Amino acid sequence: MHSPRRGRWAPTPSAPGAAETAATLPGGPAPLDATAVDGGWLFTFRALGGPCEVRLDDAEPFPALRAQAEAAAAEVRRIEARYSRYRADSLLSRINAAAGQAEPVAIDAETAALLNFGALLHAQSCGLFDLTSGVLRQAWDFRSGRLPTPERIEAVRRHVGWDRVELGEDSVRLTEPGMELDLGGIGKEYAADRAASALQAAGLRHGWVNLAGDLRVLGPRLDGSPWQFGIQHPRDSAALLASLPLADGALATSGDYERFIEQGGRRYCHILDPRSGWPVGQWRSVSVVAPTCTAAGALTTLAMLMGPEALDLLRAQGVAFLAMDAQGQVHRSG
Amino acid sequence: MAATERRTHSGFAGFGSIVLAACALPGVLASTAALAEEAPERGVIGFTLSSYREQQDGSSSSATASSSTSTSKTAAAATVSAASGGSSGGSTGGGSSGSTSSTSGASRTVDRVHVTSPSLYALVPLGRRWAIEGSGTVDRVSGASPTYYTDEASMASFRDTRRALDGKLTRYFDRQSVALGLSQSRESDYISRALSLESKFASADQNTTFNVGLGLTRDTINPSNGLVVDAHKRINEVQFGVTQALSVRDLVQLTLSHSAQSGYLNDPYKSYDHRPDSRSANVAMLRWNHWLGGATLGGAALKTSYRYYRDDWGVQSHTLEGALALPVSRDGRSTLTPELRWYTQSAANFYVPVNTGSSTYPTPADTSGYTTLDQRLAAWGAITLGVKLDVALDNDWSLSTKFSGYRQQASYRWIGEGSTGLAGLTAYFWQVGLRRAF
Repeated sequence: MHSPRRGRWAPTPSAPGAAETAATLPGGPAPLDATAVDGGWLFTFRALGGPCEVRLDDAEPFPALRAQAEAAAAEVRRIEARYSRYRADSLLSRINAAAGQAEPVAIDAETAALLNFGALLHAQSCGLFDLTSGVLRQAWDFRSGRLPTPERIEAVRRHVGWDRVELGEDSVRLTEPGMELDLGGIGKEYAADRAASALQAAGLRHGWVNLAGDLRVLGPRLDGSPWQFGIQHPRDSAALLASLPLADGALATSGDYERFIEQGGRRYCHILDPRSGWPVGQWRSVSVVAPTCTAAGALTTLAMLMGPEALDLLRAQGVAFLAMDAQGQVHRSG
Repeated sequence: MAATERRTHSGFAGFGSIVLAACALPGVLASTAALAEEAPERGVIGFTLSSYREQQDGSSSSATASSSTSTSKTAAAATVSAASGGSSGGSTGGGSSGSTSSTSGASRTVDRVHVTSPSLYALVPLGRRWAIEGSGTVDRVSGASPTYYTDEASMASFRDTRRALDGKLTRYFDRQSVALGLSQSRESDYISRALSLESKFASADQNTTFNVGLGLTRDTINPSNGLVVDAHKRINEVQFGVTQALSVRDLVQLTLSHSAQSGYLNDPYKSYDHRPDSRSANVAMLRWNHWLGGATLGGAALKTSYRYYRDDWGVQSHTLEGALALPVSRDGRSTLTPELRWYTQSAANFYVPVNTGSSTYPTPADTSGYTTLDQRLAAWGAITLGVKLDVALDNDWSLSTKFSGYRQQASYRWIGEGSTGLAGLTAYFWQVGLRRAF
């Protein structure tokens, strides 16, 4: 049987070390590795700062499966090249570089759709979800293990504010210098959906795409049975909080265990409230099952940010969820 | 998966605005149109040119029957393309006696049959449930064929054109298809008409596929030597097959078929040929396709098969075949396939072995019962070595080339007695095809 797979999620498209990884890549994309696994093929590659996996069990010749996995990886890399903060030539970096200038930056329909989705999330969360909040990372250095000073947080928090983004049909402008856009919470999830859709459009029905814990299923195993995906326990990296059967749809998990600073018995995690600039503390982890990974990923981020009302939001959105609160109590849908 | 996908789409009523907005992002959900498994989505048109040329070993002392081999043109082409040795196709011949021989160094060869075949193929999907396909082939056949074993002096040269047309109409259902095929082949002395009905159905998990087939062939024979007029031959055939995916990398297929021939089954161009007027044959064929592991071999596929044939004339045959499809392009769509095939058969029980050491053209000792001197009904073996290159030029165009060399001789046989001393036969086959999907 298939061994449970870790459900793991990072709130930004790039985990620590992504910049270094991108810098050391020799020119073209790293090759796709193929491994024969029980019942099918596992293709692995690195993109968006993390490990990426494509599992395909369809009864087709290996070269055909490999070609499709390569097309899916190419789609992930296309999105990375457009929306990575770590690439100076990405569309996102060009938008950020033009912050405070009078001229808006022209954007295409895909970028406009993603930014409009971010605007919707901002409105529905009363400003908790904010595509401009990535700038707070300038104050929070989770690798140093030291808390930033309140003055430092206040200095970068001034650059946060979706209200000061002018989003047109085919252009966007960050109205003040120092502002930054970041597709954390939706970019990697969108890439998982696009890659999975490309595989489905090619006729593949048995497999999944996993971009460092953002997971979208193409369809069940070859015998029709669902996959078993493990959700990591937020306080025990060797244990699973739950194992989840999935035959279609998507799974995303957000948690306070990925990157954090522990000080004075308190955990300061990497998910930051854009209003205060300080980490949230209501939930240890939230996992959501939704038809698409973008929906699941956006909802886990929203839930982490929302505090006690998060469960009401998830129920209202009609998705399945599994959440552990700060006291260690587990809450489930249904 | 189509069902679960539909559920995902129709189940939107229960979801909130954020989920709906996320699902409306471009390219996030695959369009359902691409999910249906139905008739071929694209049509195909193709042109193929193939050539077959065979030569038999020249005997050191020509004009004796001591070493002879005979293969009529029709069966010869079949031996190379389908390893169906031992079958007796419609033979043509007659005309003036004589053959050409050439000497190259120490070994002398005698040219036998040469066939050049241009062929057109088209497949047209009609809506999402129907497909029609058809092909037309013109075989230009020339050369010489022996009438007495393979004796060079008995060679009768001939020239003929075979025109063949066939068509197939397929109806696709959910996990099932039914196809009706019609074909006709015309030579100056041989007309063949055939009808086939075939159905395939897959299990719910698509891991097992069954196919059943029925074939009816009705031939009319008018040999140029006037030996018989409007002679008839009938072939009725049934076939059953099962294909099973054993694992994601192993596909196994077992096919069993039974055929019953009746009517005029003699070869009118062979001396002393008198065969039963019925022939019943059973064939079992096992195929195994195995896709090899990972990055090392780049996803090569090993295709092997074994075929067992047995009929009530006493002919049995074994065919072993292996091919290794090696991907030669990064996308895996272009492949180089070396092939090896080995064939052996036993003689029909009324085959009269070559009577070595006797006078020229000895009459078989006993001609009261069934007799044949046809080498195709002797015991012999054959080896085919081939290589095929399939190249996907782009999404629409593909090129296929194939070359094979074939060597047939009595000493290659593993089963059967007698018929030693028959001359060997060497044949070469090449094919070039171009296809375009639209």
